[in-house]
Amino acid sequence: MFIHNLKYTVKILFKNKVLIFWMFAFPIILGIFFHMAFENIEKDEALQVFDIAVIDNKEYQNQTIYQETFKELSDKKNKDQLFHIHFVNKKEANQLLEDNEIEGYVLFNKQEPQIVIKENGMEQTILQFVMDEIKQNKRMIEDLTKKQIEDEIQQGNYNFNVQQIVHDILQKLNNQEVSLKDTSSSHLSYMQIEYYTLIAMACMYGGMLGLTAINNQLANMSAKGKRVSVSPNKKGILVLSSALGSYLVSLVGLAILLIFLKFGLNVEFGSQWLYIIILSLVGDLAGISMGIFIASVFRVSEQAKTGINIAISMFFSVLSGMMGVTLKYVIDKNIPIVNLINPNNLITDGFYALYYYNTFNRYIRDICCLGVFIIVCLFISFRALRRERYDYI
Amino acid sequence: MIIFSTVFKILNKLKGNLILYTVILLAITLFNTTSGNMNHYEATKPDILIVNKDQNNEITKGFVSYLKEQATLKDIDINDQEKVDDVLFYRDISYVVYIPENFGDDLVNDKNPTIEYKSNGNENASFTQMLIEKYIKTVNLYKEHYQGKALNQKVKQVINQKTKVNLNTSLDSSKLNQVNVYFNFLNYALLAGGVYCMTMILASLNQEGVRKRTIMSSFSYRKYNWIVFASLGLASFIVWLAYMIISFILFKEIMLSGNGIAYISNSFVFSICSLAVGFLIGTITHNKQAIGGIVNVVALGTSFLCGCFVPMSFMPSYVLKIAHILPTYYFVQNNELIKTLEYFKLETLQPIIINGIIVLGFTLSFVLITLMISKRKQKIG
Repeated sequence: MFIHNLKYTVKILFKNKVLIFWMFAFPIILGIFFHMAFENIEKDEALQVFDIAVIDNKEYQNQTIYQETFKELSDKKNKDQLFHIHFVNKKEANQLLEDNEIEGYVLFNKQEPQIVIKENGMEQTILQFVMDEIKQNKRMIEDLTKKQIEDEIQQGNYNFNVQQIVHDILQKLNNQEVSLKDTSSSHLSYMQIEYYTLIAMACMYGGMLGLTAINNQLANMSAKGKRVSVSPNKKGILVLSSALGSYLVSLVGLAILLIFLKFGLNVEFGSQWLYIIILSLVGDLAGISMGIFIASVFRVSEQAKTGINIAISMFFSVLSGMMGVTLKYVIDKNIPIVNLINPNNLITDGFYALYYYNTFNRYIRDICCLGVFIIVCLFISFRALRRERYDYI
Repeated sequence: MIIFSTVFKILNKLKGNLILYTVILLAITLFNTTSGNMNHYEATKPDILIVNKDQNNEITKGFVSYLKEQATLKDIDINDQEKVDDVLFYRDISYVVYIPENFGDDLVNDKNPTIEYKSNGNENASFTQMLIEKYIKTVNLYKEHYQGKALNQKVKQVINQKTKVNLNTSLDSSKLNQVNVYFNFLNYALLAGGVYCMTMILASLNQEGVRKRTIMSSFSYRKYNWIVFASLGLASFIVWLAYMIISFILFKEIMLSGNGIAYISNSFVFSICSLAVGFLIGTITHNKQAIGGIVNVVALGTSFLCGCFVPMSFMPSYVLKIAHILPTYYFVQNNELIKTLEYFKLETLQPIIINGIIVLGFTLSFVLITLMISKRKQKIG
């Protein structure tokens, strides 16, 4: 009987178009949307060459140091290029600023540089930093030339070459090397979290399969359930085989999603495939358990139960970072208990732990919490389903 | 009146869905606090962490104090490595500086000490690196002539030379950014919450048994249709109004300004369009389970492709080109225009009005398609 019911549960579930859409097609469609929307986001967060304007008036023509620095920082061949510079008059610069074509412009007034901007931001801060640096370098050259001349005079050398001194200081200024060593992880792509939330959501949508399979066994939910209830078969075997059937079908959906994410969208999972598979199996079981829990505890129509399943999954998905990774982080940081009982977050976090960390502590914690979630859901469901008898219905 | 009250009874049963998307909207808006103008120029400070193993050296003290001035030091336990890695990954900080032992002495003694760092490679991290390099280079240049505290003072004197910055606006972009997040996300809330409810109501009214009973009753079918249409219109208006009241509670000051009125008008035009989308979906199918799928794909698809979740400036140009065929694109583009709207002249309002007309054009076409499908279905029936 176990195998018979298992076989027919799988068959029935595969023929349910709506469930197959939610489990198989919807996560893939969403994955494509994610890919389209997030394709550039990480490239754009790195410092880009940005547009500025310089008011090309007589005063600017006298500023040799500024001219040379701007030339260097806007040189396309320079690997440290910072700016695209528009040399324009003030009216044009204001128009460019108004149209958001430039981040700001530089104006010389009584030999003093000024920056005009429309909004605060990192580009504007960097523009100010560059302008400050030119000013500070001028000051340093003046200071150090003066110091050098004083030293020469103190040593009784009056035959010094000022131009040579300035040249030496400039050389020193330009040829300094600062020793910095990057020890960052190479796995810093935070957009991967979005795809992990998608896997978590698919696991939870697997709950709809569990829910439908269990509903088919409940006398108060369907005619099929009534017939099953009056049959001489053991209810435990039927419920278990139905749950296993829905688990197997949802695993097929999850496997398709993982293959699509890995090979279709090049999502990074790290290299621990065995642990990834274990997490997927446990995560999917958590989804099925939630479906069984909703099916057995809520005394509402099948449609309402499906609605509850979708709503809970969606809400958990949002909390785990689906509509902005920041939300997951903010909750992790401030109210971690919420994310420790949120199965979507535990699955997402497990994938994150495998991708980002070299250790397994966090991964194991996530798996354990998922285990507790599964046990609690199944225990409550078991309590609700056992010894359910009807005299009439 | 019976039809009218039935519509609202069904809406009342579906209120959970509306509440869910409103909670999501609020969570996203409140957690999205971005930096911006406070009516004056303020340099953006990157968030960083410093792990200092050379606490007692004067030069190192000067270096740390400079970084503290130019960046924001986050209050995070530096001994908890997992926490440090987490904050870096989630962009809560951009850079971690590891100052080695004897850094200060080695620097002034020409030993060129190595500073290790962790960075997430964003522009804030690049800027932090610029700050570090500048300070060390300045110390290197002055160390021949100055020592200890005097060297620190000299370096400080030099790096305090600043260029004047004028902020050419009176807009409080910090608040406006948050308002913008709210109104962009409203697309999702209106479609996934509002439109879902409208289509579910239509599906309930169009259930085969209910529909047949309605048609065969003595009540004029045309009048019935009009009442359904008016009731859904009113329900949709109430949903929109509720979102506007929330926006007033959250951003009272801005909502009372010209920008606020522009946001309200834009969202009103879009809510009419979303009602038309609801009618279209409700006409295409009466299957309640299918409605959930269609509405979710439409709501999430338009939100992702049109810049509701990710700013348009971060999106690939080909996606934005595709987005031109969706009304949400013009709604979001209007929100972006309103965010930077400072002077209310015909010239500056023109692109917003044009986008609004395009959204109304979409609405009209949805209505026409709905009527066509509805007529065809009636004939088949």
